[in-house]
Amino acid sequence: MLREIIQEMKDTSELMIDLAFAALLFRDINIAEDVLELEEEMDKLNYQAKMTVLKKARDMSKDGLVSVLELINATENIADAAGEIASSVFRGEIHPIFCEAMQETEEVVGRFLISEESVLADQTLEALKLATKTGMHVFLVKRSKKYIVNPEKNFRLHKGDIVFAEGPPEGKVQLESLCT
Amino acid sequence: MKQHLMEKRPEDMNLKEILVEMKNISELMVDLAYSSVLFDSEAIADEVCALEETMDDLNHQLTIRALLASRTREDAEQISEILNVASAINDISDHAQNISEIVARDLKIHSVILESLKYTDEKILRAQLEEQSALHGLSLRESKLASRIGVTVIAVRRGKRWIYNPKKSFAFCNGDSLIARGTEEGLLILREIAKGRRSKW
Repeated sequence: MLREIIQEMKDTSELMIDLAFAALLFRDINIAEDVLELEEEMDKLNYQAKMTVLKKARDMSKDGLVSVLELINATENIADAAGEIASSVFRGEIHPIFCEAMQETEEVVGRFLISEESVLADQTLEALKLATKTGMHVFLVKRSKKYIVNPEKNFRLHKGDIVFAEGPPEGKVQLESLCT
Repeated sequence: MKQHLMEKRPEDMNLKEILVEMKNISELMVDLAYSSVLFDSEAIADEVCALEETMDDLNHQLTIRALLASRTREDAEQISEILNVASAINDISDHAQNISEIVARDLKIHSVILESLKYTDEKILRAQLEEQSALHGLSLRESKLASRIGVTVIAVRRGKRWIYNPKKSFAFCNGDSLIARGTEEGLLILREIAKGRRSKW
């Protein structure tokens, strides 16, 4: 369905931006590779979306048609830009001033280790509602060597997990204390 | 050119300050671009356009700072990566503007777009502060909306005036119409607060 494809394209493009900055800040090639994989998925979604729009073209006004195509293109291009940010990790080091700057933005990306005593251990993301209660949106969890991108609501955090989240600086402080 | 978002002009900023502003503005532009489509608002689309000009100016100043900052080959390599990333951030803002141009060009927004925006992970909502709302008189900093209910205020309409990306010192007032981004749950709480049905959060 077109609605679902557009929604997924927007969500994926935003997820890719979070991941791209995380890859860059923590110099993590695995995360950068995840971004490139998502970029391929975006290409497929883009194709699907356009095919669906063309199939419906007869029932849509030209104006409406253009509005949908513009939006699809923009989300696809935003995803490409995220891919570009991530691919910087493969090329070499970025100047340290970049990482310093990324600590001072209105939204920041943080990496948090769930300690043995953390109140978050053994809880599902759904029960914790971190995005609502701290403003921090968990977009990646690293469990030993495995990376879980965009974990589902029923995902249960374990001690030793490394959680990557994005949100306001005050939320980052809150989440830090919840993790320890 | 509008400079109301920033305390300094781009030509007076250092490399770090420019990077901070570029990232903040590109994210604001994406939020505003989707909002302009969602609420079919030309005023918001115009703001996205103005921010794009600021962004171009920032990107230009960044290039100059970057060129001045590199003395050794190693410097140059590390700084060229900054330029690459900054150019990608600038690209994001360009594409945000393409989204808001759907509104600026007066295209009829197809209902499937509005439908799909209702189901995304992050949602955008408009809420008007009623007289009895506990937000009245609170500053954005005091309200702690971002860290308590996960809601970011993107823009406020006060009478005929729009305030984009309100500062921490911004104080809410009865009648303000807020445009906010957040989780569905957080936005429902905001709606209750705005209506005066909830005074603690």
